Amino acid sequence: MKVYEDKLMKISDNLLMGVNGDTGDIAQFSQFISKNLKLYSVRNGYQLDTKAAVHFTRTNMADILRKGNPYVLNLLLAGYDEKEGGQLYTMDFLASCVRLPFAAHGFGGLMSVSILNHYYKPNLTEVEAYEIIKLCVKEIHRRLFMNLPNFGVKTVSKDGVKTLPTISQASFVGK
Amino acid sequence: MARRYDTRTTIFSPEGRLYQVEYAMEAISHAGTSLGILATDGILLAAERRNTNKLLDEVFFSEKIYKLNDDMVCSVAGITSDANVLTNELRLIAQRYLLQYGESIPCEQLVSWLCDVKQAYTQYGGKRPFGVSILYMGWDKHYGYQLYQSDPSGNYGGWKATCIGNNSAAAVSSLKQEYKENETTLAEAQALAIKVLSKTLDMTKLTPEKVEMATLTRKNDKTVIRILTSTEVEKLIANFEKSEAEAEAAKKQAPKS
Repeated sequence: MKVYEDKLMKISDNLLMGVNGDTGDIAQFSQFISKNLKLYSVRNGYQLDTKAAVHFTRTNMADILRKGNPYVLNLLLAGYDEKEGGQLYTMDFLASCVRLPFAAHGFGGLMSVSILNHYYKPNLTEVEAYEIIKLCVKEIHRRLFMNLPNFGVKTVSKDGVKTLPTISQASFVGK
Repeated sequence: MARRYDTRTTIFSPEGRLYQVEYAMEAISHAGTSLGILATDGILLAAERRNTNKLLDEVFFSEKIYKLNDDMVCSVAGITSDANVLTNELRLIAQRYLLQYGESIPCEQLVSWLCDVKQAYTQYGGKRPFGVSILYMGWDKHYGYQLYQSDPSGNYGGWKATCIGNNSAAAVSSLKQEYKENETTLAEAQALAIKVLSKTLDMTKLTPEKVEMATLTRKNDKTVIRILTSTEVEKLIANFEKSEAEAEAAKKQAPKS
């Protein structure tokens, strides 16, 4: 069951959140954020932009952290605004948040960061970015002690949130 | 007869009115005038200063105009102590939003929040309503320059030009005639404000001590809030008096030809 779990949640029309942690915490926190963002947009007739939504997420996580019953979650937040374009933010369970060109969480992430660092350049196209992620997954399949067969991939752009083909063992057959 | 239904603030009269709210608005109509005008390139608030006693120590720069956050300013009319409580609350609301979302609160949200607070005092708690009407001017990225007015009932509205306080009805009708939507620049609005204020003030002559004016504009992606110096106000008054004198002279000339 776990191998088909979708950890990339659509938080609003232009915001995507990838969450690492306990299933219960993931559901609770992501729903809390997304429903609050929805309430904001219904109340006011306009949406919060990515920066503000991420700030809101971080502030809530930081407050709950200091109330003694924290969510133990690592997040990646991806958003698109007309003004700023695409943005990626990483947040960890201690509510430290920073905007980065590429980021990763988890054991697989430890391995991926150096690959991302090597192949990343500004103004990558969606296809190029997908290929770089495939390289990361290839190494995870080869070198990681855990079995992580499937990787879901989603993008967020001016056309909203879209799902790309899942990367699995089959993606590397014949290569 | 109405007396029986107005000692408790939170009940309706048989005619369906909330007397305490109406009495609060009555109190405001005796207070110093405040007016606001929305121009194409900015907004201004102008207010009548009532405390012109020479013995008053100049502690506060402005009597009735308050900065709420980097993008909003308000002007009040009514009971000063009530106004202080409300402006403090407005500043708190604005900062709480900044803490939550990392950006300035959009104008209407701030007004709306405070009006919900004001409304609560008309419905429960047994306390009297605030005897203050507020004019707000601000800028946000959603709707640009905005001017709002709120009153003790908790109602608010967006305006292109409006006035609160003493003689406000006369001022509003004057503004209605002279204000040109989408054509009035900030400079023209300043001249118009002085003209309207001179009509509503009790005293015969306008002087810089009796008027305070603040403008809000945008420059280089940042909001610029300025309270005019007395020299600038004096210049505006002088220009106004000159144009009045010219109009008088023109009137005298006309019948002859």
